[in-house]
Amino acid sequence: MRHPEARTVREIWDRVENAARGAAEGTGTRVDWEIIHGNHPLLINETLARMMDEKLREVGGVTYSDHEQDFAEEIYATLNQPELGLGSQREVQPYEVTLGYGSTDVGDVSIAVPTVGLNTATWVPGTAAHSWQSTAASGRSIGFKGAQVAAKTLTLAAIELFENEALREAARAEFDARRGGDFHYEALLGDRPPPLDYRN
Amino acid sequence: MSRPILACACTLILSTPGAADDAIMDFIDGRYESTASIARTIWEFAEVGYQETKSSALLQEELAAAGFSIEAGVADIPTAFVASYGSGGPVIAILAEYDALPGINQDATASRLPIEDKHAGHACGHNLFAAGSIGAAVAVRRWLEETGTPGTIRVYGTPAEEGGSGKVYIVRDGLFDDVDIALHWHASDRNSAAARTTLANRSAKFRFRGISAHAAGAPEKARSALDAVEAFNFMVNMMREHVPQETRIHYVITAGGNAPNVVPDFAEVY
Repeated sequence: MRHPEARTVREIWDRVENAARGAAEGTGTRVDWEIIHGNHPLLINETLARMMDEKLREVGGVTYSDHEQDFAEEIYATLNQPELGLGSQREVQPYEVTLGYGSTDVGDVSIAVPTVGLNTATWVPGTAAHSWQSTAASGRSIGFKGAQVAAKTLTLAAIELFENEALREAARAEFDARRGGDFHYEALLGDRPPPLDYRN
Repeated sequence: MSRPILACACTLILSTPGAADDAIMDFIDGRYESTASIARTIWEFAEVGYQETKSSALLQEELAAAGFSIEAGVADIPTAFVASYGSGGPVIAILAEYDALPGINQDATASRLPIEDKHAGHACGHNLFAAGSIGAAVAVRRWLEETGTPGTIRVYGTPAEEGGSGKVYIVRDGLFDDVDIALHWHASDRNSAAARTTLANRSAKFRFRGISAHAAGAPEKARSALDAVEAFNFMVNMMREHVPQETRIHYVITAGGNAPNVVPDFAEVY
């Protein structure tokens, strides 16, 4: 169950638990439940995101060899309604502030400490995550080149952050303001231990 | 969203690209084979959440060889680790993920081709995530040493991103408390540093227990756990009308009985 605000997830969750109790009561059964996972939303930091955008533009995108171009064209022909065209792997998308409808455990890191990230074109443009096409590209040079773009951009970002105290302070000030002064961390998955066997 | 929208500190001056950057970019270009080898090896391991034993060991070996000190098995997670180089602040952290997804299996080919006997695949590119982050950490470590810059670079090896919330346990144990800034990245079909937020989420397995009996011969003696799952799902599905617009609710029935003529005494919805 997901919502942009952790508070709202907790409120709706209480109602879901009540529905579970009601279902058990009405059918003469018993119920218990185990929280499996929970993530906070990613707390953006525009001070850091704009810095990362600048570094990514300095590094630039991914350039395919002829062989990689052939692979990409073959993959592209199998994609369902691709949003991007072939060739866009060379470009950097415009900077913007957006909401993605997924969730990630990076969210919990981002409310503990100012956090920033980027995406790189490791997959053929238009490829969806969790698809056979993303799996294929992740095991080939197209994916490795994308990882190199990330390595370069992260390196430039880290060096900037080591050298630029004013940037670190500005990022921290924005972080404090967005998180709120009365912030107290509470994991959405509660106090459960890591579910080490959840894939068994 | 109720968060205040802040004016960003756009006036901050960043360093201009120069010869030093060129040298670092050349260094990373020179490590292409290393990045590719790490990425390809973890891709072949394709280990799922909290079972990334070989992948985690490989990353720790690479980082130890590059001069990082390693703390393994942090936050009671055998495949989690923290690798550090340097001393004092500022402390910059780079995240690394390396779990594969179960139920997807594909060779590195341009047409659909499952690999025999494989049951998981790197469909989210976390093998690349790990290799790229290690590449950056090694380059930053070299720069710290060459320039004599004070500070610490860390890699956080964070298992089970896919539904296991590995990072939450690492955060909950306070292992990020002395970090100044955390950096991450993700495989994608595009290059973008857009500031992209995500949804908060919580999941659970609800387990109902009833009483079994013959579904035709003695149904009055039975209480169906599957009925309970259906009643529960019906209520939650009706609830969709009465929650905020941005809410997402999804489920699968993971147990619902085995034979129609046996009233199920156990059913589970996740």
